[in-house]
Amino acid sequence: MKTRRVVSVLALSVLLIASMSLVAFGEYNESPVLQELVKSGQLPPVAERLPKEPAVIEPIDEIGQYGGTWERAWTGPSDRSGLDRLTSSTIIECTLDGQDVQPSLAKGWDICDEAKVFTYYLREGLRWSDGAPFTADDIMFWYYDVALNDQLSPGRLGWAAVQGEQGTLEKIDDYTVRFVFAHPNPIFPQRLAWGNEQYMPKHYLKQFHMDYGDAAQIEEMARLAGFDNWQNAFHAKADWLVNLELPSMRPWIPVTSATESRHRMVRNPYFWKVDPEGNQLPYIDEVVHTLAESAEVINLMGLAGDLDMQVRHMSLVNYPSFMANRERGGYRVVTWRPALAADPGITLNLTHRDEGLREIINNVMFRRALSVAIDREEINELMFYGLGVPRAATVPSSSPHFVPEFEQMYAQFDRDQANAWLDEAGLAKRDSEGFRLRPDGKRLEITIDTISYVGPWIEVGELVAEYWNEVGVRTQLRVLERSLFFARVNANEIDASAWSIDWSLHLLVTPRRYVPQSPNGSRFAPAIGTWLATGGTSGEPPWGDLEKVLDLYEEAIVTADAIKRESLVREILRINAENVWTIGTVGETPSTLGIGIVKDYFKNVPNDAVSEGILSTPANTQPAQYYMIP
Amino acid sequence: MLRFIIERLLTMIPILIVISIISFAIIQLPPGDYLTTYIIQLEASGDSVSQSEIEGLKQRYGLGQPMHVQYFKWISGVVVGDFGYSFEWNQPVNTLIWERLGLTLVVSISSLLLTWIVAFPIGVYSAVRQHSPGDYIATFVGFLGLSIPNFMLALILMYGGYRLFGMSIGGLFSPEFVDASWSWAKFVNMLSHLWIPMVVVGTAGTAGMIRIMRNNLLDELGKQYVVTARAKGLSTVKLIFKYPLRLALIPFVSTVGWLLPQLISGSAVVSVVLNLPTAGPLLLRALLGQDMYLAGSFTFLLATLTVIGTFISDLLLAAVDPRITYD
Repeated sequence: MKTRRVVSVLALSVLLIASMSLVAFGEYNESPVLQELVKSGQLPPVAERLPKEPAVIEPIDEIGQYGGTWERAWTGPSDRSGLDRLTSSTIIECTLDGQDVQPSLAKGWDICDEAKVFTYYLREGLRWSDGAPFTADDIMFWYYDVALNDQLSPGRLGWAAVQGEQGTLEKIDDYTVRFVFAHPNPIFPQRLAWGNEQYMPKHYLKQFHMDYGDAAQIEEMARLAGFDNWQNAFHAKADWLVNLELPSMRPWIPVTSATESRHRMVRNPYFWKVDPEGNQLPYIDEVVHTLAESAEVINLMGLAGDLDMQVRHMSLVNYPSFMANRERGGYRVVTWRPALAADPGITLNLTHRDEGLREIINNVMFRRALSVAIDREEINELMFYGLGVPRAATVPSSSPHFVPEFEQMYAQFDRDQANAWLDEAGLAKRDSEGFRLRPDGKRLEITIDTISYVGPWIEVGELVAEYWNEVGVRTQLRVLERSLFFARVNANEIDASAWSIDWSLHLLVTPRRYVPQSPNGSRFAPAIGTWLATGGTSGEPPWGDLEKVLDLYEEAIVTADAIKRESLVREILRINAENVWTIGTVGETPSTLGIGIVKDYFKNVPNDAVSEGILSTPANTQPAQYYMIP
Repeated sequence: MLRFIIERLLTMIPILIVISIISFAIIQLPPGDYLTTYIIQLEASGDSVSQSEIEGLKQRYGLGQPMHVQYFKWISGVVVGDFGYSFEWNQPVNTLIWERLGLTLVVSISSLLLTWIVAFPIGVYSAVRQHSPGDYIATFVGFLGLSIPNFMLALILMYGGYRLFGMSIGGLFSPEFVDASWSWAKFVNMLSHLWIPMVVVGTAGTAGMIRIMRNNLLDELGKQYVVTARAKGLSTVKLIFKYPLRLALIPFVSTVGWLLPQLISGSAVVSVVLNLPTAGPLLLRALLGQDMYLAGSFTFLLATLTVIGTFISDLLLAAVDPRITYD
């Protein structure tokens, strides 16, 4: 037994050494398109374009083939985050399952001094898409000359600060940078892996920057290009979708303007990832986004088989049609797992203005009763084709903080129990129509506000209202126009709301659903969110358990010790689960970024992936290793 | 006559100024601004933006400034032909509108021609042969065309086109022609797609026009001068085309004013359904997204076209209708 293990370890190391030596010898392959350019002398050989140690990406299924044009669709520049995510290239990146981070532009890192000092080692020989070297200077330029430049970025860079103190960045050498914080910042790696831009091509952009170029000339350039000031001109020059000249580190770079009806991106000849056989990625030559006038049109295009692979905008409502049309359209349907705790979750306003209603809502028995009054199985069957998980609103099972015990807490449908708890909560008296009365004699009435959006919030909201009416709590669903909805939330004028409980994968990075941090993000206590967002000028100060989770959160984000930190997070989740601040319905549903259409000839797309904003999905599935069978 | 024209032109100036103020104010009326809608859009697709980024964007776009400052900034550009910058598209408004105007005019004008070519003969026929089977059929089809919402018709035709002829969904070209430069093949390909929007946009207009033509003509046909002309032995065709038809045309001429803005924004909903890269969807999205310079410039442009169209129809009426005097 023992010897066998030793042998397998040996075999593994031999394999590793073999693959490393291959990399060291520089026997790389490249796309035939690029080979042509090398032959004609327009491009240096592939070994010179790749860094000394390229990032090696394990393909999902198999080694791919070069070529092809990947047909996709988008709704125009306001939909740009689809392209940002698809081509996301960060210093470190998220793993496929979203639990951790892995090397990317940086080949490794050290975290020391109680998570105050983060040193990142960049790959030597990385190059921008124009062939210029990528070094620590490009990160320094982004951090100090752009992100922290008062004129260019009036807001502060929140994610690189702890307790209001901005981190400093040092260049150790050309390939080493070091972030230093005054306090421990253990969640910094997760934030770094999520960030949009963390470097900028200094060699190109400095000509447009006031601190580097000639002031008069830069102002003149901005004016000629039709901008009010040099800052706006700089932002346009630094935007990879607007400025086609901008050097990039992304796998594909745009060659057409974003307003074209077919937006084309072609492969970056200097892309720095390879597969285990030394084939330079991406496999696919071109990515084309057809401009669609609405998301519905994109769904139709998918149905007709006009799209090669797309998850973005594919709607769960069309799931049956997608399934029925598979053969005709020549595609398969993948269902990824968005890290949605509830779709939607119902939040009651704990900071309600009406004292009578506020007292009732703040009674935990009332919230638990309403939670067990919901038939989640039925919602799952009716609205989600059984694809979701009936659950409470705790973090989804894909989260590293998931505690199975909280998932079903007060989530078992039991109408008798609900009635008993409501009676116990002092709501036993009913009026002639059978609706429960408040202790002050008025009928207990609750309005759930929601808006019309991608997920089936209205339908689920109506079902929930029906369940609550069944147990005598008069409930109405009101569908508001979205800006009106937000205005009402900000003014603390809602009883309850139905909204998806997303952003729940990494609680400490995006705490808003479990910690009352912002009025719109944490709708269970909007007035406290307002208090925190406005620095105490309006709203109301935190109290009770709401204050406790805020304190726990503040403590957790500066706790370097992983075990201690995890216990703090679990405490936040326990308080949330027991208090039922957010009433869960059905979660982990493929409503947003969950349903994908993949042509039969389109390979290396995982059948199962965690889908989340902070993972920049599909970036965590490595689109550069997708390939198309010609 | 000249004085009439000059007076008309002068009154247009204050009207346009008022319109520019109103169209800019209307865009600002809904709560929130471009940034709030942008943030919600991001949230809907599972993205987010930090508070500091929002502040930065607000400053960049000048959204914190009071409304009159924003208005003067915009209108002083408009005077010299600079309509400002679209937040959503990150492009000058001018380029955006011009880029889409060509195809918009192709769709609008072709469906307008279709409307006229079909509606005039049928309308005349229905009136002349009133209560004949042909009239009943035309009336029936006409009412059908009036009552079916045109987005519905668009969906049905699009489905039919895909199921029966294997046409690509939406758009004016097959994917292989979108990027191609203009050629005979591309033109033919466009025609094979163009018939759907032509039929869809044209149907309601055709139906309406048949009814108007028929009624106007019927009013005239019963009049004494027609009876007199007939009694004098004038041939029916010559009679109808020379006198009653000319009079029946007057209401058409007076609606030319509404036709111009219609050319640009008339097919908005159909274009969204059919995924046509025309100006209509651009306007709709600018309004929904509160992309204020784009939306404001668009409404201003449409209003200006209405004013110009009314001016043209006034001139035409004056020319066509001898009863109009210049006092």
